[in-house]
Amino acid sequence: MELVIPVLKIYLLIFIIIVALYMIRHFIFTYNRLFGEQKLYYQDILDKDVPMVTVVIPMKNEELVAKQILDRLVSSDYPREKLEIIPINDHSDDGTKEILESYAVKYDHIRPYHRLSEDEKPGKPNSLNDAMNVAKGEIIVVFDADYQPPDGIIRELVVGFKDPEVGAVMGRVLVENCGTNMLTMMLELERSGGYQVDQQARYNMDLIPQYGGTVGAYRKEAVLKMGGFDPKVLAEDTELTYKMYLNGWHVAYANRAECYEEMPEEWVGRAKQIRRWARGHNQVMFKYLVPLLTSRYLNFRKKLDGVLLIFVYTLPTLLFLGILSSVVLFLSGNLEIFAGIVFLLFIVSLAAFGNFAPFFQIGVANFIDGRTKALRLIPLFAFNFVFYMLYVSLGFWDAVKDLFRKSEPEWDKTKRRQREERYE
Amino acid sequence: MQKCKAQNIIPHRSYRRLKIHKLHFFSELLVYFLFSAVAVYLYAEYLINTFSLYFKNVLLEANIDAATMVVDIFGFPVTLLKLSFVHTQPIYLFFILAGMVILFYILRIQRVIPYNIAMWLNFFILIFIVFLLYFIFLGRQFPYSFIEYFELYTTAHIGLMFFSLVVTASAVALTPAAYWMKGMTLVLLVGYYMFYSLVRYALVVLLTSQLSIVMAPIMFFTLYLDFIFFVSAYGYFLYKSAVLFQKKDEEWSW
Repeated sequence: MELVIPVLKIYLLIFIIIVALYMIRHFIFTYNRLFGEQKLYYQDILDKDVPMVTVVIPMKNEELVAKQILDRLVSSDYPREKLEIIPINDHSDDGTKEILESYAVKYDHIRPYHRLSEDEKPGKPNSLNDAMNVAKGEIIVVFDADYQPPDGIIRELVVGFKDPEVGAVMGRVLVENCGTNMLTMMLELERSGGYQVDQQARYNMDLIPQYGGTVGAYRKEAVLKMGGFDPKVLAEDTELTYKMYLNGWHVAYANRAECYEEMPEEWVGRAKQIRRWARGHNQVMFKYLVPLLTSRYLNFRKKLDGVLLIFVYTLPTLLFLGILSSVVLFLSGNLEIFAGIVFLLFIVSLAAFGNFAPFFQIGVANFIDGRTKALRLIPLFAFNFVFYMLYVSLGFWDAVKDLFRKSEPEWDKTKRRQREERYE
Repeated sequence: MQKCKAQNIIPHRSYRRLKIHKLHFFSELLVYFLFSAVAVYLYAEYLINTFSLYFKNVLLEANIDAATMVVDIFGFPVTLLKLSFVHTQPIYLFFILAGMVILFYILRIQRVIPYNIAMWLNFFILIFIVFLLYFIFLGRQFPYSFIEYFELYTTAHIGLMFFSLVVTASAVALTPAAYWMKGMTLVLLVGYYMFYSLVRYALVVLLTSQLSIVMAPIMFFTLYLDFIFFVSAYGYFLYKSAVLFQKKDEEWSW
């Protein structure tokens, strides 16, 4: 016990400093987005010489949404002769294959890629690697199957590659089913905080905007040279972000390239999703933390932002340990010197959970978006912190186990809903 | 999207921002910081002292043996009430423990309360269960006398009040509303919170000295829930500001 108490005290003190640092970081982001000079994306560039693009859509049992995204993509204003669409059927056992084949018959630029053999391991990273090998495009644009890309979005995303330093581009994700229930309303608020403020501020400040794995694009050759996607990493998007920066590329953020997605409508679905994200993100943390710190391409500011970003899905576990430490210190009569500041830890836990954006960041983002009524829901985020703490911690634990496991993790995809059903 | 009156363009939300005078903003932040410090000073230096003396008389009139003692908190001499804890028999604690376990289980299986809120409630039930187990098996080792506990509680409360005010005031500073509106919001917020804090103070005294010592850690660790009040006030303030502001095209720039 003599050793435990000082360790707990030191841990608590360090963690309180770290969470305070995160709070200050997000305050700076919010200030920058609301009042600072905004770095515009490249959408004002007009150029007839557009590159060959391959749109890939990883799909596993997506019969409920496959038609919608393909209909959206065939109506794109991108020149047909420069556009190839590869929906990847990744071991589907529903009607996905038949839907894709029917579109391939109607449209010659839709070329489904079926991954059905047992030798082809399932999962998004494997699917993307296979698609890259057959893609004709020099730029790969990725959409998840439940997205609704508007007509002009491919051009908007691709124009960013006119900048030779840009290796990947990320668009903005909006929630399509935001009005369904309280969960989707809150997810919409979170999403807004994450994109309208966080991503744009990091882009403004020349830090590390994140490639998000969908509504995004990357240079095929660059990714192939970097060895493609690691099938063991569930967050292939976060991995690509760090790979790009570690190899001297930049990620551009296109805040105007908006695309709607379907979010989980049940807490169980959200729990699976957040656990998967946490697992993947922490896998990236274990793999890239040291290379990030020692990179010769990144300056101090980028390294600092990269470190804070890479630890985002580790924080809830550390928070849980912090709460545990404070309980032990209290019951053993050793909390005195921390009593005045220990609640900063709790304030941040209440303030910063959601999509790891503090309440004021979410507030300002939705203020900018003109979403006024939803602002009244902000206090409800306080009730999410236990939920996030639990499932993100479980994801962290999964990632720790992955360090000692040789097999590839299984992909637990988010359940889709048929839109027609909801609108009836 | 709203059509811009001055120019024939349709401004988009993607890159819109507000004009700001940096000096004004940082002066505002400084003023709010000082306001928070003064508010906490007033609470620690005057309000608690006055209330403690008043509440002691109330307790004495109710035949509850109470005294006061001056302790040092963040360098301020603070008068706190001095009573005694009530220790509860383990058998009663067992009954409460059983009730908590049942409640925990019900919250886990029910489908009426949203999952996130049920989980949030269960988290606190779990912490309560830990405290109950502690008092059942190690109750006599509780390391605080009443006044020591109360000193710790008050230190935590004052720290929480200060940080909550600083965080909320900084968030209010980021809101593009009139200064008088922001000022009024903060004054009302502080006024209400101080009143609430004194009610909570009285509640802690009564629960720990008249009901059970088990309430001591619970009242301590639920302190931070007060922050939800600050966030709620901010959310409503931002909503009101946003309603007024969305009509003002001229305030935005691209």
